[in-house]
Amino acid sequence: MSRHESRHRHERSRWFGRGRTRALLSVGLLLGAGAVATSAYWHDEATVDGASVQAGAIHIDLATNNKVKPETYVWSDLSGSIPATGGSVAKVLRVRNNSNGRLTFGYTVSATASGSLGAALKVTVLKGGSVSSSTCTGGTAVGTAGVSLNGFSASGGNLAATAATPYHDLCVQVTLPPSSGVGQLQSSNVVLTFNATQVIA
Amino acid sequence: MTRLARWAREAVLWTGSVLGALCLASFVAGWLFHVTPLVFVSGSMSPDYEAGALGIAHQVPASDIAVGDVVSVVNAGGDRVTHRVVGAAPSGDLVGLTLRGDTNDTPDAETYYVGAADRVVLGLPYAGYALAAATTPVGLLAAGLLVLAALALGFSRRDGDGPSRTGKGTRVLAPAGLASVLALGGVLGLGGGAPWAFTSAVWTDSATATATITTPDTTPPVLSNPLPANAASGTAWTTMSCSSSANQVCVTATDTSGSGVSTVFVKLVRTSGTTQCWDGSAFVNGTACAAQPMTLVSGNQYRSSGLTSALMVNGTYQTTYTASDVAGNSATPLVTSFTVAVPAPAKPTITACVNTANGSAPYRLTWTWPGPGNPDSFAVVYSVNPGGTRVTTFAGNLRTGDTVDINNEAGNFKLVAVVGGVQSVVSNQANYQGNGGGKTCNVP
Repeated sequence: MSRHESRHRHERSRWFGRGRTRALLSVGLLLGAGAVATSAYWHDEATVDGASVQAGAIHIDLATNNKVKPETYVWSDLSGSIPATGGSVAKVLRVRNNSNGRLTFGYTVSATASGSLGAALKVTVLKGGSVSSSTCTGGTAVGTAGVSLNGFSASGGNLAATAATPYHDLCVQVTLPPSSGVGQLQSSNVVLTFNATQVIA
Repeated sequence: MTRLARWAREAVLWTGSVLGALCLASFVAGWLFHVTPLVFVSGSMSPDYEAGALGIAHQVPASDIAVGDVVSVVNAGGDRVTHRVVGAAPSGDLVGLTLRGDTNDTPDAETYYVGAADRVVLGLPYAGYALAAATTPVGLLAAGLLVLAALALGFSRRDGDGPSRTGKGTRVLAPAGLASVLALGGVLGLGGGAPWAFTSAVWTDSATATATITTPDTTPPVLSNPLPANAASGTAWTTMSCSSSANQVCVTATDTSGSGVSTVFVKLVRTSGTTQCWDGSAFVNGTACAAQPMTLVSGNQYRSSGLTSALMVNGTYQTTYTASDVAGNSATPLVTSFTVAVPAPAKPTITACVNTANGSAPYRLTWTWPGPGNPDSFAVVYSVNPGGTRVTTFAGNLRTGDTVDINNEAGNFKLVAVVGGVQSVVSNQANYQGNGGGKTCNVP
């Protein structure tokens, strides 16, 4: 073995054998930790976001339904007649998080209504509201009260499956204003859609 | 140093170096090759990518993305979403992507407009759990301690080392260097340059509630245009009655913009003389008759059924029309009255009679009537009953006829004409004389 080779091995042993290179490589972990720490905990943009892994299955259900998918609930309670001269109907619908696992979802409430009657109908959605006569009272408004039913869209907030009451009672009031110009014997199919999207903790 | 200590030292150094190298490699891969490790924190892409899987994504231009690809994009809320492409439509320089989780029933509500996106090309089950754990405060603390331990072990003096060459500068520069590296990482993190991402392959679900709202028919039908008109008076029922329906009463029932007329009824009462009501076939004493249904003629006009001029004798009548629509709304009843005053018709004149040999044989009369036209009928009045008892009746178009057996009696026979139940004065008479074997007759 030449003197040169011996010295080279000695140098290599000095770096890898002593661990200085490995120690310096570990500093890369510090670089990553710094990036994660800022992006996950101090940064509000979520290109990188610390999160726990969640397992389960999401289920948003209406009324007494349980894990129905796909779910179309015939809300016969709300179906009814409103005099062409104006009036309203109001009923309460329960929106429940029946998800498997510790899932939270946020949901939106949107609505469509067909025909000339549907174009004239107004809607008010009150979370936690109750029915008094043919109107909703109390609770907090979901979206803007008294706006056109057709095209209505608003956030209902978040619902956690693990909450003590994993549901919202939504009082939905459908109103036909006086002098709407809508004649009698009109009919409108009202569809309320509840879209739930998982909220990552 | 004991053997165990050496093993521990080596473990710390190798663990730190491998993890550190992976971090550096991730940075380099991300910057040079646009590769991003993705931790699936939820499972809407199951079973291809379960929650906890580590996906390797490669950034590609949006134009290279096709339906069926699994891509990772940042939504309007700033969250990274990884779902499968179910629709891609160019929009200017961007492409509008419609994504849906494999376990979701509906596509994402948001259309993502991107110029480039991270396409997932590889998935490693469960590997994401480790990365997720590393990002927790405990994990970060452990990483920091691991780095410090590796540095301490890597640069500490060991048996056989020569004299320490660590000067004051090294003691200051080393911590400063570490802090700088940490700060550099922080800056990279703030700038979005971190080497991996957590992606919420979020579950979605939807439910719909359907209802039908209607505006009911609350307007009752309206009755109008009664025939005969209210307070009408006429000399012939046939001309007084509804022109579209001979001898009937009519009324118009409308239900504008409503559910439509369902039923129309009429109650007819003769109020003059003995009060009588029409029960559908005859006039009976009293007013207890049920209202009779009317039927649609045409348009909105309804008519009665079964009335005749013979039934509608002279007198004053009251009609009460009622109607309801399909929705059950009842019209305001329409009450009218009218008077039938048919004048007495002209009297007939007996012009001849025929002798008979047998009293039981019929008597034959011949007569004329000045008209107009024909009366409803002719009746024979027997003189034994000077008041005008009708013993037989002939049709109105006849001008001759045989009487029936009138108990073989001789006497005077006269005729009357009857129109609308109104009787003319009696005619001249035909005299029959004799009894038994033969009778003679003459018309004076």
